[in-house]
Amino acid sequence: MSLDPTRQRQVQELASLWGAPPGWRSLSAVNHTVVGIRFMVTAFVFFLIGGVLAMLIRAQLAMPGNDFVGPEVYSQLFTMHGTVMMFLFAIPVIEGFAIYMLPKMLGARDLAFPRLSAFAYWCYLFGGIIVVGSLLVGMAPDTGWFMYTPLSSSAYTPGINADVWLIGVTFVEVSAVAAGVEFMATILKVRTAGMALNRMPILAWYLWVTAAMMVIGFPPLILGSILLEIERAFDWPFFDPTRGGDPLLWQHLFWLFGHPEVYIIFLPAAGIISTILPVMAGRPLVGYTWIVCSIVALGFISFGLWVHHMFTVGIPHLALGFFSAASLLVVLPTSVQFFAWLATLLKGRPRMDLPMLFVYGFFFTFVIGGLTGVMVAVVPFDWQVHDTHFVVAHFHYVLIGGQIFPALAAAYYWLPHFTGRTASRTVGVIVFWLILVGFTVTFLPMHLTGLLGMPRRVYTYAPDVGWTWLNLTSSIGGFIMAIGFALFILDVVLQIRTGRRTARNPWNAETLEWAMPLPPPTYNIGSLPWVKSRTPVHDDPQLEDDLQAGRGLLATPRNGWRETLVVSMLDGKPEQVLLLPGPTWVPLYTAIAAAVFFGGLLAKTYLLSLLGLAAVLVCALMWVWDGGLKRDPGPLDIGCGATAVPHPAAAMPPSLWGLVFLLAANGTLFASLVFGYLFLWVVAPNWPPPVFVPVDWASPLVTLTGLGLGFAGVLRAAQVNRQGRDLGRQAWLLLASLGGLIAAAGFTVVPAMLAPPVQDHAYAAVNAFAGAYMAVHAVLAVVFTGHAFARGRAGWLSAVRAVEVRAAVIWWSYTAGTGLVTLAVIHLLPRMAGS
Amino acid sequence: MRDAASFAVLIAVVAGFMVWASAFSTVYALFSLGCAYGWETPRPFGLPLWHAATAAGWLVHIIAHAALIAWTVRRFRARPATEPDNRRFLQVSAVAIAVLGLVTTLWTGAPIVLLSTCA
Repeated sequence: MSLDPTRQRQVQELASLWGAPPGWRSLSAVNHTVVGIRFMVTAFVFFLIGGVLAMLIRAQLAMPGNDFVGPEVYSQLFTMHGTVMMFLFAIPVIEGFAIYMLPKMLGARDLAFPRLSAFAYWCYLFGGIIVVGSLLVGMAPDTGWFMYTPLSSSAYTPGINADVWLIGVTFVEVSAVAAGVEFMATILKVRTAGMALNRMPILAWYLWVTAAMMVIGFPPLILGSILLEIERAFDWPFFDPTRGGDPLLWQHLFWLFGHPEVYIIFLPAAGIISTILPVMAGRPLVGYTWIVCSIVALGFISFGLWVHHMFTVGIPHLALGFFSAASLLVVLPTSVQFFAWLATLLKGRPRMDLPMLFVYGFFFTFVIGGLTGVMVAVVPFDWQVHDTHFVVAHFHYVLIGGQIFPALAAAYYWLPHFTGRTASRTVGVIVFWLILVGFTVTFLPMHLTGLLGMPRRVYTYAPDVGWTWLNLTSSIGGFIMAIGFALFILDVVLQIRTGRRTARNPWNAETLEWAMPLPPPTYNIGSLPWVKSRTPVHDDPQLEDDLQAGRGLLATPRNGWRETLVVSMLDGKPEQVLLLPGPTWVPLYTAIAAAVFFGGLLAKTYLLSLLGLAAVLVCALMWVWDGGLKRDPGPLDIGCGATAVPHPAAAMPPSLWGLVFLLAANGTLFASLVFGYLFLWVVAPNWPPPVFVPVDWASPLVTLTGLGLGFAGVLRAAQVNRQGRDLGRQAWLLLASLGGLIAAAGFTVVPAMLAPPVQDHAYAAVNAFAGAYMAVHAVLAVVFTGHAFARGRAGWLSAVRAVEVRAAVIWWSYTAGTGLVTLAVIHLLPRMAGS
Repeated sequence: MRDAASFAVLIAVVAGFMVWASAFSTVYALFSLGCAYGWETPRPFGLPLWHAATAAGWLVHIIAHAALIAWTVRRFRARPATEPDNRRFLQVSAVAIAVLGLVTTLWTGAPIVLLSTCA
C-alpha cells in the first residue's frame, strides 16, 4: 500500500526510533525482535551441540563391548547431552520464541522490560559458554544431568566438573527467571487496547502459565545448587548424612524444579499447536475457556508430581500413593486439550500444509509418550523399569514429541514471518519423514531394551544379554533423525536465500502478528489496534493497512520516545503509555559483571567474585537510574480520542509488577529453604544436633527493631510523599535505611552465635545460611531506600511520580515478612522442640 | 478497577487449585511428621493419630473446597465490572477451576482411605 508523505515520514521516524545501531554496536540492542532471534539462534546452536553428543552416545552403544569412548568420557557425554538439551535448548528456545512473538501477538511494540530480556540473553550465553566450554578442556560435568549427591559431592567428584554444572546452570537459570518475570508482567499489562483476558490469543495464556511456572519452579533448584556448591567449596554439610544432612534433600529440591520443567517445556509447545491447528483447520479453536482451565490445572498439578522421580528411594507407600495419584491425574487436563484439538479438526477442513504435518507428528509421538507416562506413574511398574532404557524412551517421546515436533511446526508456520519468504514444501516433507522415521526407529525399540533390563548410563554391555540388535537399531534411527535435522538447516538457509517472497498473512491466520509487514519492521506495527474480538485479523482484512496508515493508537512518534500501551489487567482498557529504553550497554555490562562473579566462584578466587558482585550492584544502580520524568506530566493523547498517563506517573507501572513477580520467585526460594530445614530436622539421620542456637533474646530483639524501623519508616515515607511533603519523605527514607542496617547487622550475628561451627552439622549450616540470606535482603532494603532517597534528592520524585518509593515499600514488605519467619525458625523452633 | 483488585480477581479464578496446593502440602506434611515422630495414640475413631491427623487435614480442605465453590458461584455472578463476555469467561473459569480443585483434592488424597501404614 502507498502512504501519504506525512505518514511516510512518521513511519521512517518510527523505524529509526526503534531500530538497533549498526555493526558491533548492535550488541547494545534491546529490541525484542533482535533479542528474540538471538535467543533462538543460540538455542539452536546448543541443540546441534547436544545432538552431536547424542550421536556420540549412540555410536558408543551401537555395538556391545565398544571401545569408541571409555566410561569417563561417556559419563561426560550423557551428562552434557541432558544438560545442554534441557537447560541450554529446551527452555531458552521457548524464551526466545516468546520474546520475539509475544509483543507482536499482543499488539505491542515491545516487552515490558526490554533491557531485562537483553540481560537474560547475555546471562544465558555466558552460562552456556561456561557449561559447554568445559567439554573442550575435558572437565565437563559427569554425574548425570540431575547431579545427585553424594556422587556429585566433593568426596566423589573432587575436580571442578560438578562446579561447572552448578555455577553454569545457575547462571542460565538467572536468565530463565528474568524471562519468566518479563513474560508475566508483559502479558498482564502490555497488551493492545481492547484485548480483555478472554480476547488474548490462546498462546498468551499458555505462556503466562509457563512463565509463572518458571518463576516458581526454578528457585528450588537455584537454592539446591547454591547449597551444593557451598558444601563442595566450604564443607557445609547440607547433604552429608554423617553430619545431619541428607542426599534426599537434593533430590527433592531438584525434582521440585525438574518435574514442572517438563510442563514448562510442553505447555508452550501445546500453545503452538493450539495456535496453528485452528488456522490449518480453518475454524476457531473449540473450547477456548476449557483449554485455559486445563492449562491452569496442568500448571498447578505439575508441582505435585515431583516424587514420582523418587519412587525407589524408600519413601513410605502412602506418600507414594499421593504422588502416583497426582501423576495419573495430570492426564485429564492434557486430554481436554487433545479433545479440543480433535473437535477443532472435525469441525473444520484441515489443510495438509507443512506445519500441519508436524502437528500430526506431534499427535503420533506425544500420545505414546503420554501413555508410557501413565505406566511409570504406577508405582509397581515404575519399580520394574526405573533407571532402565524404558524411561529413556518414555521421556524422549514426551520431550521430542512434546516439544521438537511442535517447534518444527512453528518453524515452518512462522518462518515466513521471520524471513518474509516461503519454504519449499518438497524439502519440508522430506525433513518431516526423516525425523519421524528416525525418531521412531531410535526410541520405539528402546522401550524393549529397557524392559529387557538395560540400565541407563552404562557405557557398554556384554554381547550375550540380548540388547545388541535393539541398540544397533536405535543407533541407526538416531543417525536418520540427525540427517533430518541437517536437511532442516539446509531448508531454512535455502528459504532465507532463495525462497519466494511470501504473501501477506500467508496462512489466513487470525492473530495480530500477521497484521504487520513481513518481515516485521523494528517497531512491529505502525499503530496499535483497538481490538474487539479474539480474531482481529480475521474480522478486518484491512487491519494491516489501517494500522500502517496510522489509523490506530500511538501512531505518531513524539519526543523521541519509544512508546507502547499499558492496559488494565482484566479488560484491556488503555491506562498508561509505557516509555521504553533504547539501545544500551548496561544489560551486557551487568551480565559481564555477573560472569566475573560466577567465574570467580568457579576458579575459587572469591575476591574476584566479590568484585564481580560489587560491579553487578553498580550496573544495577546505573540501570534503574535511567528513565523517569522530572516534571509531573499530564495525560497524553494516544489517538482515537483516548488519553493515558506516562508510566512514571502511574500508581502501578509494569516495573512494580515485575518486582512483585521477582519476589514471588525469591519467596519460593525462601520457602524451599524453610522446607529444607524442616525436612532435615524430621527426616535426616543424626538429629537432633549436638548443640542448638543458645537462648539469647538480645540479638533477635535488635534484629526485630531494625526490621520494624525499616518497614514502618518506608511506609511512612510513602504516606508523606502522597501528601507532597518531600522533606518528610527524605527523612523517613533515611530512617528506613538505618533500620535496614540494624537488621542486616542482627542477621549477620546469627552465624557467629552458632556453636558448633557450620562444618560440624547441617543444623548450624542451615541456620547460618538463613541468617546470611536475610542479611543480604536487609542490605538490599538499604539499597532500595537509599536509591529512592537519591532519586528524591535529584528531583525525580513527587506525590505523583513515586515508583521508587513504592518499590522500596514492596521490597521492605518482603524483607520484613521473611525476616520474621527466619527469626522464628532460628530462635523459636529449637525452644518449641524442647532444647 | 485498580490493578491490585484485578489481580485479586485472577487469584480468585485460580483459587480452586490454590486450595488443592494447600491440601496436598498439608496432607503430605502431616503424614510425614506423624510417621517420623510415631504419632500412634490417642486413636480417634480407632485410627492411629498420624492417620487421623492426615485424614482431618484432607477433610478440612474438602470443606474449604465446597465453600469456595459456593463463593465463586455467587461472587462471579455480577462482578467484576467488565464486559459481559469477559465476565462470563471469568465466571466459567473460576467455577470450573474451583470444581476441578475439589476433584483433584479428592483424587490425590484418596490413598488416605486405602492405606494405613507408615512403611
